[in-house]
Amino acid sequence: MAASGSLIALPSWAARWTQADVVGFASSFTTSEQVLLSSVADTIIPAGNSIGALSVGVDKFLVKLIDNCYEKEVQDNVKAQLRKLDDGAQQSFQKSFSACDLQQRQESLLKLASSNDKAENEFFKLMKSETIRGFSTSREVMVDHQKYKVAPGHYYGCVDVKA
Amino acid sequence: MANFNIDSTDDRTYDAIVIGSGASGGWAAKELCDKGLKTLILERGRDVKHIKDYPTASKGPWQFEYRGTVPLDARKDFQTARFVREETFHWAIKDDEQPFIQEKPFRWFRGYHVGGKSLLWARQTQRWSDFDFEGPARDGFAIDWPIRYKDLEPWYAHVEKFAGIAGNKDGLAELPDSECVPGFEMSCLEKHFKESLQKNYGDRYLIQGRCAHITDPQQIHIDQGRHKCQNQALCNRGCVYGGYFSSNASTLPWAMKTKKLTIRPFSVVHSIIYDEKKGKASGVRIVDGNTKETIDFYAKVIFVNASTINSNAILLNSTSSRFPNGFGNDSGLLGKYVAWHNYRGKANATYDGFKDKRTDGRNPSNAYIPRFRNVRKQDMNFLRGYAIGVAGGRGTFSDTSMIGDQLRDNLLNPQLGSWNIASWMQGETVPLEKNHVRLHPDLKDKYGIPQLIISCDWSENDDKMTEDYVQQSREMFEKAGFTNITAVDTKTPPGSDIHEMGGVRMGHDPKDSLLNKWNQFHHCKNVFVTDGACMTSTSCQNPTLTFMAITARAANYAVEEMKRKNL
Repeated sequence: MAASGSLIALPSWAARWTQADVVGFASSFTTSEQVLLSSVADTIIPAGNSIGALSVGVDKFLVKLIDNCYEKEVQDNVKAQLRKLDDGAQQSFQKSFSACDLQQRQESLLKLASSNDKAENEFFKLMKSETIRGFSTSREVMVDHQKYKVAPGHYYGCVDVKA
Repeated sequence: MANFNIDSTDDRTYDAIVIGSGASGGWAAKELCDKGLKTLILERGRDVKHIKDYPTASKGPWQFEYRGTVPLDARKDFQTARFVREETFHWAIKDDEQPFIQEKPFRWFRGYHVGGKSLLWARQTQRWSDFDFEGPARDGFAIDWPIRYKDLEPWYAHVEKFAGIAGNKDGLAELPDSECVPGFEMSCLEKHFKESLQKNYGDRYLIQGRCAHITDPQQIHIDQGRHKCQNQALCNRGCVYGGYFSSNASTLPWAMKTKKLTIRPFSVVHSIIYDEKKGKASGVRIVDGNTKETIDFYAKVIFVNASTINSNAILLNSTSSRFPNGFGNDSGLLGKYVAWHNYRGKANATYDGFKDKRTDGRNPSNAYIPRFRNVRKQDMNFLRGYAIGVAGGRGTFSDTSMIGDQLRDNLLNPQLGSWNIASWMQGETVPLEKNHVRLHPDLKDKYGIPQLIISCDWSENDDKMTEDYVQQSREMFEKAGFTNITAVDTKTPPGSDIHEMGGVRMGHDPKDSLLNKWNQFHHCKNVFVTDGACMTSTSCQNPTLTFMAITARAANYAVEEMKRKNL
């Protein structure tokens, strides 16, 4: 799948992207790195028939977060691992990581989870925990799914569990 | 001093000056203004207006750009600061604001803005009893308190009615009842634990902790512009409803309405000015936090409410021919006998029952076991005792051990967990002379004020008491049928409790104390210290309520003494 003249193949959900969407804010991540990061988030929490990491904006959150809240060594490792992930996908599946199907992408990521390489392992843990944080603290999850209200709150010490 | 930009001395003269705007300073200002005194509050930090200056109060987690994490760039000057989260970053204090030397590890939490730590506190408000005030005399440590419960009782009632305290009438001699609005509910697990304690011990009572939240606003709270607590449990961002007591929501706007109050933010107090001729204090010297200019303010009476350790620092730096070793310090004890609370012990457990029940929502308070050790007589191998904070509830969790569709489904559909219960120790520490603060002979901060050395450490009494808590919390949990019990001594350094007290203690005798029973300096009657620095011993109850009651009492005494022309 070729997409808008770029060298990287974008997955279908990214086909409607414009340059402005990807680099809407200054980032140390290149466009292709941002696309890979999005694919990683989408792999960890795919939308399925519901909502996933990308539908609640975790991709943009991750770019900003890693850019501004993590030390350069962490940023560099994230970029290096994204590259390796992509190279690995090329070798195993003859396509970019982002163009792989969900199962192929999960397979690639889970290899890092069980890796003995500390850098790979830390990358996986960081991506997973921050994707979970971005997803669980999103408005869509908190308000639409879990009915969170800032106010008024309430407290009942002993209520029946709904059957 | 050269004050080229300042108006005449008259414009810098007030009836009263209050140093600090936290819980006790706010009360001093309120009482003094209510009695018609033209009062100046000197606050070293920035202004914080109720509601307007709580920028994160109504935000959901998704409204924080980094979901709570403060970017590296923004936090580079806050390496040692607390509250470095997007939700509370507005309270964080820069590293260079007030560097200090830890001769021994000490965690010093500060609230340097209008309202001070009254915006950041845990809001638990338990009264002291005579088992506490009579402690030093009975057990032979520190010195005898010059006051007893009956001296403070009407002032507890006075501040409780105004502040709004949620709790119940528990009828316990060791924890006298407060003037209360209804308390928050206990969970089924807490009730179960309460019953188990009653059955197994008889003298251990689990009650709902009394806390400074308005569950049922009375006219006096409505008059302050405050509203019912909304159970947001986002208190330390500042509460737009005024659901909990803070200076900002309560005492300061009240005092402001009298038109007698001036609050001057960015006023870093350098020292109290002593007039050798008149033999009393004439005012307070500040360094302007922005211009670094030195400015003197004058008043007939001065209240020191800068928070325990900083009040000590100011007084140590207030030297004169009469008081070469610090203000009112003929005894040489200024800065000594600093004590705090021992929060080292923590315990956790789960409970297998109540499968058909759960808790729902957020509880801004917690349950509480008043002190049961050495209450009526000394019977342990350590002095004094500890209260226990208790919180038991049933929340939800999501299994996140996988990735993919299952992870998403788990996150969208959290499961009920088991019932969990936690307890934490709140121990009294015995004031010792060696636990002290003093000024560094050379090092100064950016305002030219000497840096403080904090030298405080645990004692064998604290170790033994912690050991007892660890053992007893485990036993109490076992008897209640809890499982997966852990009970540990976390060995956290002093200061983590944020309940430091003493250094300028009250007493009968000028030889072994600094302040008299009205919180006046024995040797300079127009200066009052009514924050935690005045405390002779620490009891184990959360201390802020007692600071507020002591302050209101002393402020009203000061007004009477001024009327009698004694000040």
